[in-house]
Amino acid sequence: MSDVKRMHETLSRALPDIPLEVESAQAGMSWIHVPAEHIAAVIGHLRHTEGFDYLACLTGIDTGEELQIAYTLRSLPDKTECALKISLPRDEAVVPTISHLYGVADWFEREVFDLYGVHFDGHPDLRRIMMPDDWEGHPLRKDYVFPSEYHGISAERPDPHDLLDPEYEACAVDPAPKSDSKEGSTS
Amino acid sequence: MTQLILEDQHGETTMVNMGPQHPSTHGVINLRLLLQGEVIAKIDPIVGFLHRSIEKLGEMTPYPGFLPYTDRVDYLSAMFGNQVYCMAVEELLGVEVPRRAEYLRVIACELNRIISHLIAVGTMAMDLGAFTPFLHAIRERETVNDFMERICGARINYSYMRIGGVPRDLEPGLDKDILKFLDRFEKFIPEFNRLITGNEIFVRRLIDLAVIPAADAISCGLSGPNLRSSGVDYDLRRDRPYSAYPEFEFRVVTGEGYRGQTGDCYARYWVRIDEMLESAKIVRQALLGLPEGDVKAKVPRKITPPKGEVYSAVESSRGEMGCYLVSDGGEQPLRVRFRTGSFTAMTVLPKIVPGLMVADLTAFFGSLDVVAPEIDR
Repeated sequence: MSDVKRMHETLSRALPDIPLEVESAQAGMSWIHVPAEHIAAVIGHLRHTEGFDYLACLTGIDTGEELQIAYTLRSLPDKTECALKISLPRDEAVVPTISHLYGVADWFEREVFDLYGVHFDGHPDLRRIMMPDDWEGHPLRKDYVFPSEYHGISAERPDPHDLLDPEYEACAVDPAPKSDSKEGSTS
Repeated sequence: MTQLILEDQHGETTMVNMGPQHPSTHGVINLRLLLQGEVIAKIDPIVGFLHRSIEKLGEMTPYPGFLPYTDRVDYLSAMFGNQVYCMAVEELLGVEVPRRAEYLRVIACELNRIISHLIAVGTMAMDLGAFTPFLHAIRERETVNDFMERICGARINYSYMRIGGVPRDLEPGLDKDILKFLDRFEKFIPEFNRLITGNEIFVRRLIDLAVIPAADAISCGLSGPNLRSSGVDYDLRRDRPYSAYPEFEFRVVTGEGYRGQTGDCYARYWVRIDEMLESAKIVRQALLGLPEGDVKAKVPRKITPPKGEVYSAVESSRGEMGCYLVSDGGEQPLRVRFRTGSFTAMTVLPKIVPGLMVADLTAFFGSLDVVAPEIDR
């Protein structure tokens, strides 16, 4: 707790133009909220001046109303941690990259781009990492609609409870008629 | 359809796909190589083939029900997935885990680290063409798998821990059997060293190869044995203490480069060998000092942590395994994110690999001890 407050004071003194706020919830840790457009400057300062040399975690969060990105920085020699968070609008999520500060941020940001659709400005190679390149939508968004098929592969499975019902028709899609397949194999 | 993203700009070059089905990639990973003769000019690792959307499943599953999924994050060290998730939920709930349960968790985790490192060093030797060490390692692993079966009923995907502790105590006599195994295991390591670690062919194959400087290791977020072998003295068990680890004495092994340089493939191999002995030491201390008491704290049947977020991290066999958990006060997490050691280890490839020979890539990749499901989750 006190660590975050101390870091907030240090940052506010060094970067007086950037409005920073300490936030916390009912339980768990507290973090410093940073305006999205200043995140690269704040992390750059932490990296070069305060000795936070290690990016432990970078993750996106979709609260339903807005997108957030949480940065967990760590200083290996001092064994301290600093949690930062930014908020982004859902429809136009653009944030400056920090991939020039930490090598690992390259892939972390690609993951957030892939799964949340956040665009990282200045990222050298922003493309999907987990999903195929032609995938539509960003799966970890709360409003993501699950596709019913991908290149003809069905993604829908019957409810196991339905299978117990004697009235249940085993296959929604009719299998190819047997006579047709025979003809296909002989010709 | 993925596009060919490597550009031919080095004169006479060849594009080679190493994987997705390749014995030395330890799972389904595609390494796109641009070769100039035998030398790699550029590498582009393509991952995601094993993406099972565990994080999305976490948002759709109640807190206790998500536990078995955490086994599948890293199937070779499932205990750590259990532990990091339980720790995150416990911190949000404000539950204090009984001391005996913490000890049992440490025992389970360190046994898991031993068998995971056995696989790591065994497969690394196998990647280089030495098959026998792998069999020796697997033989020892079987014994520990039997212990795991007696501890929790499963051999690979344990689902051992629960939110608030562990479900049951050690069965009578198991502690003596584990201690007997540790005696044997501490003699097994020198035997294994005579077999392969000190083998001059093996050593020459690995020393001074693919050196990761400490600065690169930190910047690329390497963690665990990969980070320590570059000479960075950092271990979450000691430096971000959790569970019962502050009560045990152990040495944090760092790569010293006593053959070759600090941060080369041999250092990464050696750190794992040495860490197994340290883990054995911790298990022994935990078994001998096992406190009496309950093994599970009282937690409500319906788990609804208060609003909040937490980042918990454990020192897994493959480095830092972290869990970023966000609760909105409901029965399911708002967000559960796993930060894994294999994912960050992959980011070092484009920095280190260019300039290596193709055959050395196999050795280098083996030394990183990457597990594909843990990259993709």
